[in-house]
Amino acid sequence: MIDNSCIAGDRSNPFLPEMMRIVRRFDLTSDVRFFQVRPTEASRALTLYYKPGTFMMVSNPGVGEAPLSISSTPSRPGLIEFCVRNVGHVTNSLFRMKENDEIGIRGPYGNGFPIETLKGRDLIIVMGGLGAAPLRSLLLYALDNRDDFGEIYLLHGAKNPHEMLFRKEFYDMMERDDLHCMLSVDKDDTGKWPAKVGLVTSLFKEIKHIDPKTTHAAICGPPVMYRFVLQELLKLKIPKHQILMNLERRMKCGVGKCGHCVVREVYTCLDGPVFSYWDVLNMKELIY
Amino acid sequence: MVSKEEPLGFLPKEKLKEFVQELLGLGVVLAPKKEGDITIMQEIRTAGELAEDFEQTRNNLRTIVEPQNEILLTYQPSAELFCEENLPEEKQKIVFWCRPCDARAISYLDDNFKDEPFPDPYYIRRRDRVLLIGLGCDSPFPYCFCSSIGGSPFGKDNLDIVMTRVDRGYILEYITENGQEIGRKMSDIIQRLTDDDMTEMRKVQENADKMIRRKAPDPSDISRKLSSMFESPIWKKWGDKCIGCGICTYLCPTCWCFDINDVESRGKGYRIRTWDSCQFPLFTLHTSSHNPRPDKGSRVRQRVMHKYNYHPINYGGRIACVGCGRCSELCPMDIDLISILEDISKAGEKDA
Repeated sequence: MIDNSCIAGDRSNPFLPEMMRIVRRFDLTSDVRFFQVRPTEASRALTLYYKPGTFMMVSNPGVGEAPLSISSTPSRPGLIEFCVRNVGHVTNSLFRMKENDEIGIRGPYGNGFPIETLKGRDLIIVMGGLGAAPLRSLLLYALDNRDDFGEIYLLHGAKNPHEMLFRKEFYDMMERDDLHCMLSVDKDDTGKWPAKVGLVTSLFKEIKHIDPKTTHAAICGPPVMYRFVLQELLKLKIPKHQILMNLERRMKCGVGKCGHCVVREVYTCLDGPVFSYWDVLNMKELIY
Repeated sequence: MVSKEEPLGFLPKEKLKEFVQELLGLGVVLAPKKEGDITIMQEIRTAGELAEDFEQTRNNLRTIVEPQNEILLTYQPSAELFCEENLPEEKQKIVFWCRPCDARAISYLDDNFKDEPFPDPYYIRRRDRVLLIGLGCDSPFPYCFCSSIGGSPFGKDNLDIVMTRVDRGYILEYITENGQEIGRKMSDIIQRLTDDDMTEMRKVQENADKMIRRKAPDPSDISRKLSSMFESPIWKKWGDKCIGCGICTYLCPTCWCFDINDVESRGKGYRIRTWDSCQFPLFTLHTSSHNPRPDKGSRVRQRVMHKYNYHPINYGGRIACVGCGRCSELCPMDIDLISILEDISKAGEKDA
């Protein structure tokens, strides 16, 4: 007998996934694929709300579950998007799935970005590599609610143009006059790169129109990036509690039970994955 | 309102088997049973299987409320909708003769699994159907240190009945209404207590306290000191000794970490939860190969910190250790928890 409660939205069992159908998928880079999914149960699409910066446990029956950041914005309801890098056995199996295949989803989980607090503020969004996945959610949310925010800076770093996620989307954003879209690659091996060559930190000197007291920064990228980006943000005099980071840990349950993601007394899955720079300074294991 | 019935009862030695036999009629009975040289708390089907004289059971009560392997969901690999809950059957379980420390440890599992915002329905279903009949420790074991950590060899936490062994039998103290109910059902076996029994019970209990040789340093002091000891050199010292086998966490009655994996067998799929240990490097390894807890020192620190510092921070100062001594007794490298606690106590003094 097959139990249908999992698609009817019965949330009393946090381990029970609900079904989603893959609507669209395409490659962002040689090893990162974009997935767009929607709930199999049409009415669920209307009630599924999440905050930018939250994540979901995505599962493929028979293979397992993996925590994935949500890349889409709640301001465009109905569809949920993920960026998946082909590295583990779960992500590997997702790469074998096609449009209309079903996957299991639990969540959304995590605290997400404090979007109510961010309203009326200037934003500096710094993303490197796969860090674009969770921060794209915040970026699109801010652009969709453009009047709620002050200046918005997007600083994006990639190793080279081939490794950049959402290339087309971010190129187009360079044309917008309500966003300072600054893109950089460490090395341009194509000869056609239209933006800056250099580390993401080299983009900071172009930030001019902000009042640090009312500016929030959001960072996500590879571990090596944080130290240098944090230095730049401190140079801009942005208060530590206004510097936010989307950090990740190995997770198994996503609901604060399994113990994998604990950093000191904090559960990354419940109290994170968004932490402030103060949190990082007070919780040694978090990134350093 | 306290019930008017006797809060105490007496079970003569020769009626013990009969008592257990009666329990077998009330539900699944788990009791200490010899298995070679060791004693395991496990299901018994006849009263004869009960070990009357037994060492500390190798396993603790976690096996009963959160089994080592558990099927969370089942699915048909080919079916369009794959998930079916596998919530445990709500069978009444009676744990007979668990030790007070192991019973007390369930509070810490409750802290985790019953906690909001996502209470665990698998755990709660089992937990709600467990009745605990404890046997006080009249002769504590060499590694026990419950009394210096807020417990007692005759502690009553989470128990429905606690039994004290005296010369001619067992004295039963009914702690909960469920315990009293057992006493009522067994009224033809259970007798009234004499004053001599009472005196003997008090003597046995006082004696037991004195027999605990090991003492841990003041736990609330340890808890406080640990807050500033994240980078202390003692972690490397103990980490260097550790071989990362994880036995301390598998035997610990207050450990609860688990892993979730999918397996397929004979055309059917299962999502399985298994115990996991923070002493394994894989526990925190990211797919990117970054590991936030990369060495044994940081993993030993996690174990001690979690019990003595993180859990008290999250749950009102309660230290997640009951002093059963299993981790010290069975560590293949003789890493002794009390020695670690003493190191912490000393290191803290130096800093101050």
